[in-house]
Amino acid sequence: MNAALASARFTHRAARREARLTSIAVGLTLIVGFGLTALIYAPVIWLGILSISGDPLSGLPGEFTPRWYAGLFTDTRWLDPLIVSVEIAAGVSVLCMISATLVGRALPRMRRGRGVLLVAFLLPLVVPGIVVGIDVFTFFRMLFGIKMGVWSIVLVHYLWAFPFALIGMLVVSSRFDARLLEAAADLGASPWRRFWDIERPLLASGVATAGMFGFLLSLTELPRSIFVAARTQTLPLFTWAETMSRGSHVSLIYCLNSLIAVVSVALSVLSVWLLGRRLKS
Amino acid sequence: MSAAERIDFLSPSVRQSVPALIAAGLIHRYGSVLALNDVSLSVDEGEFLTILGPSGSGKTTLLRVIGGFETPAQAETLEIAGVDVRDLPPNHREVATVFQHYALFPHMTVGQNVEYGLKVRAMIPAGRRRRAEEALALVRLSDKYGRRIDQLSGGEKQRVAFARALVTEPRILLLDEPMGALDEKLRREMQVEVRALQRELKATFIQVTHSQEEALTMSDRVAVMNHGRIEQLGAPADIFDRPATRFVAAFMGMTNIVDGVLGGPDGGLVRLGAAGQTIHGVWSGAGHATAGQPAFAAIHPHRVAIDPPDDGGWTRLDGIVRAAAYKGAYTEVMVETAMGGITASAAGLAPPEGSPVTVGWHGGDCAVGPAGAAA
Repeated sequence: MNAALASARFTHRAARREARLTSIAVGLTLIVGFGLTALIYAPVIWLGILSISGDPLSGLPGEFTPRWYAGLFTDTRWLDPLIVSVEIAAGVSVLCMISATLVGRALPRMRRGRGVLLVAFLLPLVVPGIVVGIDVFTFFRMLFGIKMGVWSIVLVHYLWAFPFALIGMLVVSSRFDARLLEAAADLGASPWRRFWDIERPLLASGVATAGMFGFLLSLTELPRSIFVAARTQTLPLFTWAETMSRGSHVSLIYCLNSLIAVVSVALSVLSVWLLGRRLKS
Repeated sequence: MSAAERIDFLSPSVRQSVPALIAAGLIHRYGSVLALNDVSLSVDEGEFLTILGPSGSGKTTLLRVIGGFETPAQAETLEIAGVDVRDLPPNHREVATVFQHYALFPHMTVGQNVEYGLKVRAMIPAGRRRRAEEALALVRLSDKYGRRIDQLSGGEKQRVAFARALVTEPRILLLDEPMGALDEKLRREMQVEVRALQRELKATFIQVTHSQEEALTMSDRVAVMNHGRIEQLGAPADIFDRPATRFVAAFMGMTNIVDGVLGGPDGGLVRLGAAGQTIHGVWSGAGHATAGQPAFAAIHPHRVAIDPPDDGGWTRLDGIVRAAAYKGAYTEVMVETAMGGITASAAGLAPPEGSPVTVGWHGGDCAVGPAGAAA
């Protein structure tokens, strides 16, 4: 009887201990999760607050004013770099959409070598940007005599963005049911019609995501561009140079970066939403 | 206007004496596995043929070869309605498939799914719509034209798959385990409905299934496959009562199979010697019966009687009841005899375990075939 009681007490104590451990784990997860979120977003929000502050360079908010934003209209030196950047980003985006679609369609259908190829395609993710920049600079310029400029920037941005674009595409294409293509063929559809009627609409969100990754990553890319830009000035190169110069127009940089952050977040949210919607259906 | 007139576009436009399918010498391998081992098959226009077999028997491969999704390693003949299709991809073959998981296009409505086969044939939208609506009416889904696929139940999806395949007027409709994803009750209903549809359209259906019941209730003929071969091809009653091989007998639910040596003929029946006794049965093998050859005798449990009449037409065995299992409509009684365990389906009360009992069957209910062929 006593032994039974003792055993029951022991069991209850163990259950309480396990419950305590579980709540500690949950608490830790919450703290780390929120902490990380704050770590990521607080500086961006801080930047936004400083951009409407009287003296952003002091690093302290206060005396809120829209004058720096107004300044963007009087000092328009940022406009040309922006146009260059958007053009390059658009080019990278198109390249990413096409190549991610081709590779992303093919990979899930391969019977052998799929894993090796995937790793090979995704490896550039972990190669430091500066290394890529120097590599392209030496390899293409020294070896082939290619001029540095817009196209070399497009190239390094593309190398940088492609793995991300591919991942975005694979999220959709790896879930694509290839039996639908058999069904379409069975109903008389030619290979082209199968692609156009079945794959294209079902992979569209993956293509859009690939394009958006390409656009955004190119728009904000700096370390690779530094080596291969020559005299071409992209927006990140412009803001970087301005920030380093500590000149009187630095304040504008706060506004410019805040705007870029807002646009980037909006586009990212849109692409994640698009992907999520496709996955649900 | 009768239903048959209304859907006249679905029936084969020209009645020909050419079979819907002629296949001969089909061989296909997956690696070292022989999925199709010299398969030959001919299906008449308007026939409902079922390819029956366990998984891995090659039945799905055969259907995929007919549909064009699989190119056989060798094919002497593969003709659909008289056209050699050996070099034609699926989109150039006049067949349509109802896939096991339906493979409906998730981004299209019910109507768009059904119209797809017509759209790729460049039919004008108005005509497409009319025919899609007729096809949907045929499968009793008239009100679902504008629905999204994910709003349909499993049974409705299956009907859409049928409508989508039928609307293109295929020379042969291929059915890949079409009832596989349905629940028991719906499956029974659809078996009847699909058979009625096929009769109404006078269309050629080739179905693949592992369900003995589906094969027997729906088909004009059944081809039983095993290890890449067609072991027997015949009417459902022949397959069920006159299995030509040991495998077919077992697959048809003949749990009572006795091995022995063939004796001589005996007034329309043959004799089989086993365990010192003589069994009478009907020769069901493909070839001639030769006295002295090893053979099997097989009998369905529901044809085994407890306390059979004592006359010459009946094989009688004394035994002891070992176990009884209640199955609802009947009770399955396991009787230990000199020939091993014999299972009988008893309609009434089963004799108690351990009691002596005599079981037996009529010679006409017992199938005898050659042993070994593909055991």
